Amino acid sequence: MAEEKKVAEAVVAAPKKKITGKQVADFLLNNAMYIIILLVVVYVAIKAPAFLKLPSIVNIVSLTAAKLPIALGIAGCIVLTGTDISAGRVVGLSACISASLLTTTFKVFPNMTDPLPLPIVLLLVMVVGAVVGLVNGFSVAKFKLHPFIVTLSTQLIVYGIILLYLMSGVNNGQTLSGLTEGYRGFITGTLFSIGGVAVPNYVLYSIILTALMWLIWNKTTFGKNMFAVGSNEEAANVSGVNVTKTIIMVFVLAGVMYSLTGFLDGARIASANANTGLNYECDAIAACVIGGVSFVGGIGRISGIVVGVLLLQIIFTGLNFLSVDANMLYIIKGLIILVACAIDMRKYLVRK
Amino acid sequence: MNEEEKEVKEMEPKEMEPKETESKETESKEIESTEIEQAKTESIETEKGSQEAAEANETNEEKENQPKQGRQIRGLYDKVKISVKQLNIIIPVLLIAIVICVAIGLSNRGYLVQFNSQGGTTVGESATRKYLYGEKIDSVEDPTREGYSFTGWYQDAACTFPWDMEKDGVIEPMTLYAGWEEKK
Repeated sequence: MAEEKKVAEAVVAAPKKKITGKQVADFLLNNAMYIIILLVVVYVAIKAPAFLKLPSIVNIVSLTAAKLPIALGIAGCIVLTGTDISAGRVVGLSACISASLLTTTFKVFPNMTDPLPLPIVLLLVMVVGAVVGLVNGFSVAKFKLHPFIVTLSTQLIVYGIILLYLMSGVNNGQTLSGLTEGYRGFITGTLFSIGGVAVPNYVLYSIILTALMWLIWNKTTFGKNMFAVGSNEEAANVSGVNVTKTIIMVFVLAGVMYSLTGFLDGARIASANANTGLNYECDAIAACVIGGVSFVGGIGRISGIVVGVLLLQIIFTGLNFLSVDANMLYIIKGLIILVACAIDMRKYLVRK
Repeated sequence: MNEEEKEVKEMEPKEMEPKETESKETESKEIESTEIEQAKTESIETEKGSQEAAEANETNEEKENQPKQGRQIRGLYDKVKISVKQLNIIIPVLLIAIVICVAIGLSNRGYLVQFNSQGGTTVGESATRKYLYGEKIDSVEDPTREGYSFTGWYQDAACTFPWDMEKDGVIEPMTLYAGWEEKK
């Protein structure tokens, strides 16, 4: 009898340890993005083994570092349940300004004889980015306009400014190039070499900016206020948070991050024209959503953003290695954004 | 810890919201009724399955039903009316669409390389084709142009970035531009 009892208990106890189908489905759906990326990596590694070699990995890390600052900036706007589609054009404008002032062949300012010192140009582009951010933030905060409307107009206005800027002097709309050795060396000079492959300096600058943003998001009152306003603006207002100031500061900070991206990109690509920075914000927003910065507002982690940018870069470098039709990449990118949003929505609905 | 604090803070302001959700109650009631219908069909199906599966379903449904009483869906998902079940179908469908797109992209693989002689004779018709990633471009005869000498192929029309036919591999669709120097 005791044996039968034990067997019966074991039968009753055992099923509770089984993993339910629902748990498996939940796990698969919540982590669908990571599983897809793993499959892509495995497939590319089989078809093109050079993908996992050191030069390729350093290339992926470098490209991630180049695209990180703009994602860090735009993440703040997403936390506030907004968006910022002027990001790419601000990147382009600051790249053009940097390239026109730190060059050996002066076309936009034909009367210049020497390039400006690097710190002056850096400060100048940061001010430009901050001004655009100020216009965006002020319009959103004071007039309660939806960020989409505001940043759509600033996007077009900044593009017009880029075109006018490139037409001025003797340049007539041409691509700016012939950058100074100092500028190029500062950004793309070798930080250190692993196994013969050079890691560029801008990887370090990207790491510094990431650490800075982490401090701002997690260790300052401004960061806490940003999350409070993103979660519930009225409640934050009642709790004593200066909502207007917070929104403006978020957009100004984002603008500065965009201009820093432009400063780095000018030297990284070694040229700048009217198309520099075009559609950069699409990649940045996609990376943020993949990285867990939810459109619900008030949710986000810096570590998630870094992971999001990295994963997106891995996918597209992998597809590049496979020589996938370049036009298909846009469709794939759009679908990835949809999947990331669907997973994000699902997590939110289930968690509630 | 700070990120967790943030999520706790995110929940605190919501406690002040129940007064504001009266207007949203009709919306949430609609969602609730569809959820209850789905729950009924779900529970009928799982009677055939194991007991734990039914228990798991019940706890999930409880989680879905609880917030409808007080919580407010917010942010850019404010007006979203979608259920977890619909998303359970949408996500795999989108993933399959991505895989199909990659497969289609692989069938048209390759990057097109074209040549622009910038005023010189047209060359490179046989070399104008799709190249795989990293492939070197086929050798092309130099174009000729009256009064100018050919300086080489460049990646841009302004001839600032030279292309080394021996060493550089194709990494994206591109056009090679001929560089010219005036003969003296």
